[in-house]
Amino acid sequence: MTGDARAERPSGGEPIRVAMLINGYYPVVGGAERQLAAVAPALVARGLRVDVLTRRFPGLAPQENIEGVSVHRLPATGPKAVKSLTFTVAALRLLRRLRPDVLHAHDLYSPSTTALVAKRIFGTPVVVKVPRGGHLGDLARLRGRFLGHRRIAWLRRGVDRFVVISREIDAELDAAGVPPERRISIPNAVDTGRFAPLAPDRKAALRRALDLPEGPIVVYTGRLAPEKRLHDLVGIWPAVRAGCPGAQLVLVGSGDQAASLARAAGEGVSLPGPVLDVAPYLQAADLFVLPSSAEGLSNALLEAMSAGLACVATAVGAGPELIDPGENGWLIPAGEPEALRRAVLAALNEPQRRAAVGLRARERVASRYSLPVVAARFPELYRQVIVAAPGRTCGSSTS
Amino acid sequence: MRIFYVIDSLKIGGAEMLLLAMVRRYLRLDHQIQVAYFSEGPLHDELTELGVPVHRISRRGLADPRALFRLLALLRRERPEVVHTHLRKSDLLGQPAAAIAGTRVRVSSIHNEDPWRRNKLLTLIHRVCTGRCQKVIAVSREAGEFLVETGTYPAEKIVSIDNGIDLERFDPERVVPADKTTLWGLEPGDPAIGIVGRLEPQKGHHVLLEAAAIVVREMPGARFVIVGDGPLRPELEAQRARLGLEEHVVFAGISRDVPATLAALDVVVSSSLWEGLPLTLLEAMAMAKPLVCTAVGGVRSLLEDGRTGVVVAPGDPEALSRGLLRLLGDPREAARLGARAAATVRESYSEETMHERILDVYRSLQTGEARECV
Repeated sequence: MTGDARAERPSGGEPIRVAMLINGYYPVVGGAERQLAAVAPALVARGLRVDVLTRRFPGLAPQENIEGVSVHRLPATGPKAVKSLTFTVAALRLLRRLRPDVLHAHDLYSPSTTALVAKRIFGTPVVVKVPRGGHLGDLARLRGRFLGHRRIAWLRRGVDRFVVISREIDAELDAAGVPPERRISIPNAVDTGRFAPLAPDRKAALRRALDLPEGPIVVYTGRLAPEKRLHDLVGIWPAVRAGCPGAQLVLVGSGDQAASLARAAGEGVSLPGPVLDVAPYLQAADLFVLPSSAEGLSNALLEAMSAGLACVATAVGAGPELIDPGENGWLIPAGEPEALRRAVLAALNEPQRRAAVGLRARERVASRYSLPVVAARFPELYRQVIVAAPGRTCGSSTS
Repeated sequence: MRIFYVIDSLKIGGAEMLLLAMVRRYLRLDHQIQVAYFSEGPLHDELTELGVPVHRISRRGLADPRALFRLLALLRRERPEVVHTHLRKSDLLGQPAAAIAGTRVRVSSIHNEDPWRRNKLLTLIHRVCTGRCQKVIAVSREAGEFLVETGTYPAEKIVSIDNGIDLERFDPERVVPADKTTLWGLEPGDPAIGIVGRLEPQKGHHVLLEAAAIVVREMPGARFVIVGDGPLRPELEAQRARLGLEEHVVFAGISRDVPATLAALDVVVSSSLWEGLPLTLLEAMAMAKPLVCTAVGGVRSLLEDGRTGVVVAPGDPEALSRGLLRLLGDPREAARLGARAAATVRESYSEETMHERILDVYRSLQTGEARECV
């Protein structure tokens, strides 16, 4: 089933065993969780052995196999500090049994701390993914925490490779003193098969089924959180409808701002609430909007572009890397409702250009961000850090 | 309407998912909903995000003597017009509580043909506790008949409302099949036979493995994909090894995308030993999959043998293997069965119809009682 020599350990023969450390895993959902839940089975398919160590949420089994990935949900109870400690202790006990070749942590907080303690004890190399950047990013928030600067220095010394998903995050790590040879850029992945454009007749049928109106539909998917600046979007909607009568804004998702957005929503704005699958909404829409003030590499934006939707997004996080303005989308500065209004209206009033833009958006995503393309990069990264790890018999110790 | 649901757990399961879909729809229709429960689970957050107040009755289940008082106090405070209980513990506690609190409409849903109902003493206890329940919604006609037969409820209290599914999610024209090569290591040409459900005794996986051993003797290329996880996994893996089926049977684990998983299968099996009306079956039908199912519970009236699927006796590996070989040997006939199954589901098993019929039950009881009072 392997067929990929890179999936094997450098010493040959056996598959690479990787232990993923993350706060939540399917069915717990969030950006980072969804990414790992998509990539981990793809790694198993390439012949790696993947264990996921995550926190136990009530009602979920302690151990479960999800699409070939062994998911271990470890107890983490009590107040915040105690919670992290109990998780670390439980993780160390399990890692002693699993003996992975490499540890891969999925944020800079507790999972990284646990991974570095494990490295101290077992000598296992550590890869850390930095999922968020900007003023709400992992580094910024870590600085504000207890012993934050000490923890950053510790990460800088101990982590073998940082995986960055945008140039913005790469620059932040550079500024924090992480040398370039320990930073590697591997973007988030999107399932381009599931998020694919529909034929016009299917799209029309889907709209009827979702109770969406006939006119132009602008969609947002994701958490209804303050940093997404959705109130700006709802605020400009009367003006958008003045320039494009009948335009419908659909905010798909749930979150803290659900109630306040519902109150603010006027004519032509609807909130269908949380849905299991956002794909149909993307496939039924004409335009996607992401007015966030901060992002890493937005899953929602990747999915929308993959579905062949033209997108208006703010130039934050990986936005500028995904979108070449005017070519495969529209980029606007963050926090400027007037620019947002102009871009949305421009996109809505030029249907032909919008279709061409959507097509190129899908091409961009398919070539660089599809699941097979992204998953193929991890086995090589793991081999590099395993070979370089001191105390390993299988490779030269270079560090 | 102010509707108060009581359910045993907020874990991910058939009854729980049905409740969640119901809550979503009724909120959209401007009803006020609250949920009380025993065991914690992931649906807690989903309900909270929908703005639904959730109340935990007790951590210790029925063993907690305060559970009844807590529920009573809740009902007296919130004064719902409808109390609707789901699953065993909630029936036993919720029905008497609703009767004492004077809730006007008291409804229960029965999701399974639970074998314990054949025990006279247990059924007697259940009958005494839930005697004041006015209407019992059975998830299939057979489940309703089973309740009458076991003496759980009199026939006039029972109304069968078939389960329904979200037909948009399970639309074979829209769903992109999962990649069976990368996900399960199958060759593109291998016929894939799949079963979806938790690995527990009810689902009869051990019978399917026996049947698989017979099938691969005739058709060595056949591959079985067991989707789901559960307590029986080690036992079933050992059985697979005993039968020498390592090459032929894949334990795929839980699927994050059931529609795509179903789309990638050539034949779908249900080997259950007992069932109400399994949602996964309706989902497979909606995806136009040829089916081989055991004749249990609601399956008996859902599938017409030879027209919309192949129906075989439960617990019989020989019969199951014959059914599978029949469909695998004749793909065109299999496709015809699948297409008819999809048509059946689209006609009679939409989620919307089910929700409307349940609301009708509430409404009829509400006005019925009002008339009595005049």
